[in-house]
Amino acid sequence: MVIVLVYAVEILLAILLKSSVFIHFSFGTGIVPDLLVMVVVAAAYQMGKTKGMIVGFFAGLMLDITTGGLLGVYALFYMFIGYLNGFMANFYVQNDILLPVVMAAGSEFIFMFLCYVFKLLTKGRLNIGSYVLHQMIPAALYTAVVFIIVYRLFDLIYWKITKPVFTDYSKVES
Amino acid sequence: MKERKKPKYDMEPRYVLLIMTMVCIFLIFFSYRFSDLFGSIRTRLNSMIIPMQKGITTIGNGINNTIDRFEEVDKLQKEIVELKAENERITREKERMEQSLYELERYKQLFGLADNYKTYPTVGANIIAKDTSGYFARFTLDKGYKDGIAVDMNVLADSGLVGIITEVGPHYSVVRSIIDDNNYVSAIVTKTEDNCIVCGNLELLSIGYIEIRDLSINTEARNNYKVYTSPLSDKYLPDILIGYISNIQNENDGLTKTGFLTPVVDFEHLTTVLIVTQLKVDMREAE
Repeated sequence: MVIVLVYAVEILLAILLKSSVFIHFSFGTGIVPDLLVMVVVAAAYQMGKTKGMIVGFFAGLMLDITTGGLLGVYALFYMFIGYLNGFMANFYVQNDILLPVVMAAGSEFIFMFLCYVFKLLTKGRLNIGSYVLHQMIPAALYTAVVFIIVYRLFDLIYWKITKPVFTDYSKVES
Repeated sequence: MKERKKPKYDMEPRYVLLIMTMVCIFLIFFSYRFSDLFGSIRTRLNSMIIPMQKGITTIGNGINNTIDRFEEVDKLQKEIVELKAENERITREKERMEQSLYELERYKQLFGLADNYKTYPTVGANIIAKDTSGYFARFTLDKGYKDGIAVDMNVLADSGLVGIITEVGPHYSVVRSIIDDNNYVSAIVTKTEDNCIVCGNLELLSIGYIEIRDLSINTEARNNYKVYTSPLSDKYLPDILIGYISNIQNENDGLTKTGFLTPVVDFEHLTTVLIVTQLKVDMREAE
């Protein structure tokens, strides 16, 4: 129950910070680290596909509500990201930072790509190279860098709440 | 062991994915079909988030201002010198203009022309959030229909066009700016009076331009000509400055010309805007 509350607060904070504080750190490029992707990636990595998907769905839905446009588009995107990242949940280890950071970068890239395909390609913007170079890759890298710091926080919170028990493989084998 | 404890979570994730994808598609469909109902739900939810956003924006702006202040001292000193020079130039220009304005007034009286340039009633508003999904340039203002704001009102800043209001709640409103990739404004070029379309383009924006389309092939328009909103537009009020033409060239079809447009508004450093409280529809009815 606590974990649901914690994720609700994390999603809300992510939306508020992304649209009001992080825009000051875009350095004139219009690119900001995507805090929602970070929340979804962390959730999926820690808790698996189904829960990652649910967190992604609600995160996307909140974004849909606050930004206008059709309801359910971002929800769909973030849900897929939650599902894809859920595949990595089997490799979850505490304090591992490399894998989730790579996952976050990949997820942000996929998210931007989905946005491009569904929202701009349908408008006839065919110059994908420019979008990849000036929007998707910078956004993915920026998200990854910020995620290094943010993920430590997420992991700490997750461990404080759940105190997960893992099989100690070193003892099983011996 | 986990399966025995919680059998209700036993559903395969891919089936959950399938079901939730369908839920999403239904949501998209219904929010498209019944936009009024969903709009009111969204407005209610948004009204809860907006106050929080306002608070956080205030903090964010505070932090940003403190950082900026250190950087700006040098810049300001340089700027003062430049501005003094410019002030002098403008004063001289102004005198010259006043002279010719006086002359113009006289001619107008002679011809009995009505005063064409209307001054629109405006209301100031602060930007409290920006949609930063990369491709879109929308933002949220801190005034809503309780402050007399309505959908389709024009938004100005730096005496140029910023965008148009697309959504209104009790104490907030959402603006789609002219640099948004989905935004089209019908416009008119000064001096040559050619009609054209100004549309946002994300690729060009990174080098400080938006796009201008559908200029007639026979146009006499040159770089640095001013572009204003056209009286033909449904939603945009006439005679609002949009920007300056640059890099005009022939289109491949041989029928039209396209070019770049430098907006007068500095979209990067926008914090306050003016909302024009007059609607184009009302203007037409009045006429």
